[in-house]
Amino acid sequence: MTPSIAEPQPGAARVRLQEGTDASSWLSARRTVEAIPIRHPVIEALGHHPTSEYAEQFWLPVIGPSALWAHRRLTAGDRSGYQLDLSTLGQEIGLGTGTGRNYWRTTPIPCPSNGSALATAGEPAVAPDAARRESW
Amino acid sequence: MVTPDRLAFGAGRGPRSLEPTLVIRPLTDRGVEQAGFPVDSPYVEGLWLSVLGPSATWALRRLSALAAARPEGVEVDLAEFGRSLGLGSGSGRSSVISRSIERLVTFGVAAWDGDALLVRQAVPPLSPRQLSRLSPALVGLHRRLVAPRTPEVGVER
Repeated sequence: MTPSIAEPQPGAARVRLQEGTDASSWLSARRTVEAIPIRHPVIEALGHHPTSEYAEQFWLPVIGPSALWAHRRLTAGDRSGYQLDLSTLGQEIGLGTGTGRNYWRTTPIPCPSNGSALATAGEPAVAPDAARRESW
Repeated sequence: MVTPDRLAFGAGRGPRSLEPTLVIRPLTDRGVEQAGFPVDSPYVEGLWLSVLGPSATWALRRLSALAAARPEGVEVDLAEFGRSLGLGSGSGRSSVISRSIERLVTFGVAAWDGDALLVRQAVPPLSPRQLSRLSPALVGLHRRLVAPRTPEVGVER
């Protein structure tokens, strides 16, 4: 089963993260990004939501406190996709309003290398096995 | 029962060197528990998170649950606790886990009682000063969550 990334909302800026691009540099160059759900039927059926006990017990030690709070916030938004203000996200999860390169280096959030925007898993969003840390 | 009136909250204190293990006990405060919000509530994730920061907020949830499960006191290995929160295994004075715990004390959601750390089971609504630093969206969230209550308590730090 192949995961799919939904199309951005009509009219949204198509900002592509090229393969090999440093995600923190990519993020620091913009104030907002389009957040789009990643649909993955298998993970959605068998996985665990970022607000679950499982995510807190097992994914928190892997991805760290800022990233898990960020994931919970990202998946709480409009499931058809939405514009995400990076400064607001940082402030709301207690990281301040900075959006510079070093800021995002220490605040990993979902950003797949082939994504057309900032993508985040839709429903149950973390896989049963704690793998793929590199994609966060 | 340990009540807040004789405890050392963090105002004016710098980070302290923590022992490798820490004894955790609940901090009982009937006023806050009646008018405030449980540490795993949407209010804490929505509002206190932006004040305490991500590491301290996870630490609060975990420590509060531990204290509730073992009110007589439970010993926590600080390095292991830090690892469980994704903060690495450092436990020295400047480690993230030590600073997170001190942050809980600074903001009044935990307190030192000798070498034991007392942790609240519920937190008060944010003070007007704390709210003034938040985004309009979060202030709106605060109003919606507090509306059904009568917030007469507040711990200003």
